[in-house]
Parts: sequence; C-alpha cells; structure tokens
Amino acid sequence: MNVKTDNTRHVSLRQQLMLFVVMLLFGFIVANHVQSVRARSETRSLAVIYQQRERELNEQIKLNEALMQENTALNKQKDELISALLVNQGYAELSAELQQVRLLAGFTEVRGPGIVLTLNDKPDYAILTDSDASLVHDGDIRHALDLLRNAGAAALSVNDLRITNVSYIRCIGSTIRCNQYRMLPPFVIKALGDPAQLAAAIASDPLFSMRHLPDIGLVVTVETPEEVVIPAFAEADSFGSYITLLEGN
Amino acid sequence: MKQAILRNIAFTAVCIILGILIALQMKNVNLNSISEENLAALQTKLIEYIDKNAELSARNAELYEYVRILENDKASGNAQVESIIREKERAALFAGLREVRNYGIVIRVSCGEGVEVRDSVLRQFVNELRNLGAQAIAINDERLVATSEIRNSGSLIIINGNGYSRAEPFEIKAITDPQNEKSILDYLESIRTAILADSQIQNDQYTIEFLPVTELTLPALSEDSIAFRIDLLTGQNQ
Repeated sequence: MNVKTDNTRHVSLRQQLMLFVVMLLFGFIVANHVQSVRARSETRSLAVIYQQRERELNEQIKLNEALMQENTALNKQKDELISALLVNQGYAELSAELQQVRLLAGFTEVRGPGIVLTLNDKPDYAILTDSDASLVHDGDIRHALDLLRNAGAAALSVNDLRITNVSYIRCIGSTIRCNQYRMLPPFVIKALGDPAQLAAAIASDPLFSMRHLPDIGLVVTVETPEEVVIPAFAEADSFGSYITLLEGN
Repeated sequence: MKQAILRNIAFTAVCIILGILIALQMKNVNLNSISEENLAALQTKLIEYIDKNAELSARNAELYEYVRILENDKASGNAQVESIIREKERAALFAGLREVRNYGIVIRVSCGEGVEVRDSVLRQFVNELRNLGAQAIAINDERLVATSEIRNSGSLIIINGNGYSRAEPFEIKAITDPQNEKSILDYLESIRTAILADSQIQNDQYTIEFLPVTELTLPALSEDSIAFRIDLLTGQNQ
C-alpha cells in the first residue's frame, strides 16, 4: 500500500514538474508574442500589404496564363483562316510564302532533334563562401547561345522564350531578361539541330568545363530527348515595335 | 481518479494552446522578415504583370477583330489579299529577308600587323548591339539572323557559312535608334575600353572605331542561306 502511495506521489510530482515546464514555456511564448505584436505593429502592417500584393500577383499570373493560352489559340485560328482563304481564292503560292516567312522569322513552333541545356546556380549557394562564378550570369546564357549557333542550331529558346533576330539577354538589376520577360534560374536552353554536334559544343567548352568543376559547382546538364519543341515568338502577332526603324525605308 | 482525468485534460489543453502559440509565433517571425525592399520588389513584379496582361488583352482584342474580319471574308469569298501581303512583307523585314536602310552605327575592328581578329570580339559587339536595341545587324555585309554563326575557322571567320579573312578589318553595321546615339556610343566606348584592357588580347593591338552614319544600308539574307537551316526547321532532314 505504501509502495502504491509512493508511486502515485512520484507520478504526481513528475506531472507537476512537466506542467511547470509547459506553463513556463507557455508564459515565455505569450510574453514574446505580445511583445513582438506590440513592437512590430509597423512590420505587421507591411506584412499585411505584402500578403495582399502576393495574392494580387498570383491572380495576375493566373490571368497571364489564361491570356497566353487565348492568344495562342487565336493566332492558330488566324493562321488557319488566312491559309484557307488564300488557298480558296487561288493564292496557294502566297500562302506557302507567308508560311515560309513566318517560319524563318520564328513565328511558328518548331520541333525535331536537338538538345536541352540546363544552366543553374550551384545548389546551396552560400554568398560568403561560394564564388560569383557559381552563379549563372547573363553572359553565360549568351555564351551558350553563341556556342549552339556555331554548332549549327536551327532554332533556339531560353526558358521557352524564342530567340529571334531582335532577342537580347541582359541583366537588369538582379534579374535576367529576354524578349522583355523576366527569367529566373534554372535557365533551360533548347536548341534544334544535330544532338551530337550541339552536345559536343557544350561538353568541349573550356568555360563551362571549368565552371562545372566541384569547387565552383555551376550546374551544366545536357539532355538529348527524342524531340525538342521550340515555341513560337510570343509576340508574333504584334512585332511592329521591333521593326520601327526598318519600315518605310 | 477524477482529479487525474481533469489534470490530463488541462494538460492537453495547455499543449494545444502552446502549439497554436508556437505556430503564431513562427508566422510572426516569417512576417517580420519582410522588409520594404521585399515589398518593393513584389510590387514591381506585380506592376510588370499588370502591364503585360493589359498589353496581352489588347493584342487578343485585336486578334478577335482580325479573326472576325477573316471569317467574314471567308463567308463572302472576298479575301483581303493586300493586307495579307503587307503582313508577309513586315514579317520578312523582321526575319532579315529584306534589305533595310536607315540611320545606324558602323563599328570597324582591326588588329595590328600579322595579328588575326578574334571571333569573340565580333560576337561581343553583336551581343551588345542586340542589348542596345539594334533592329538589324550585319558583319561585312552578311546580315545576321537569330542563328547566324560567327566562328573562327583557321585564318577565316565564318559568318552565315561564308569565310572572311581574319587578317582584314571587319565592319559591323547596325540600325539603331538615332535618339539614343549618345548613350549607345558611350556604352560601346566602355566595351572598347574593356576589350583593350583585357590582358589576354592586349597584344593583338586592336583598333576599334565607331561611326554614326545617317543612311546605312544592310543587305537582306537569302532564304536559301545556310544560316536559316531550313531543312532542320521543316524536318526535311529526318
């Protein structure tokens, strides 16, 4: 009986001790929370605005995706109608010429053999210990595109943005832009052409070989899928702003 | 017994509240990490998307209107061939298939005697001109397109499949916005300074000149040019 009483007392003591610890923690967190709520009401209002803007941005991103899909469908419908109209009216040759010009301008999706090159920052990049060479820069993307052009690429895209005669890759602030679009890593470069030749151009490049070494750790991977699909220039229906200096001369 | 149950319930309740408080605290910590800079970056991105969507909506509205006209044409059997031909010509201009003439900048690149011009120097200027908004570029009258090669091959530099002697000066022509002449020339000057200061090519004794020209003519590139690689684009090689 005495043993049982001792056990009960022991358990009760342990429970009280645990409750004490929990209550202590509870008190500490409540105090900390109240303090942080009081002291940072300004930050909280900033946070509320941030969350609101984040929600608005997500809505805009969804809207952008829907508009892009609508745009693609409309362009397809337009091309089909023009083609049908011209053929029906006896202008089959003009229809073929138009298609050829659009193909050469990069206004149509193209597919075939090729490679997919991925450039990415070193995984777990640490700003204090890792070198700047462990990050992908705009010059790296331009360099990769130049290598692929010289290896016979017939069409190119970066993060599914078609590279055309007027495309640029440049760093503005902390982001890299292409065709007026902001891009984030990883940078996926697709090239249509002889897969072996294109892959060899990347593999044998001294710059990428050096940056790919474990010490620097830049991610440079080449895949050779059976078919590479390169999208059309996203502004194919409104390219006027790119030829303002060429028209009327 | 009853006391033990009550104690357990109280303990459980305290633990639940504690859990909620920890979660709230964590959320608070995350929110506290938001700075005005983060917010400014987010707002910039938001404005960018709003502008992009407004532009895309306008483009789609124009496309709807054009599709409607085309459908009417199809129904009436009266195609507006002239507008289609105009559209084809504009696409050909964009594609580099037409000669163009306008204000532009000429960059002359040459090396010291017995030294050969490097392809990388030409590529650097071409890339910078693209960044500066050039709408048409040519090297030694070879019109450049999206897939034009510029590469060394022995004593030649190959451009669009044609070889040019590396011992001779190269001339890059670009049609650029005359309103930006000063900023473009200033930027090109900074590139020249960087090239001349490059220890790897200092011995090449480069001479790089910039020349704004009121009327510059850039030739068209033929549809048959190897630069277009039409066989690959149309899948004829498969």
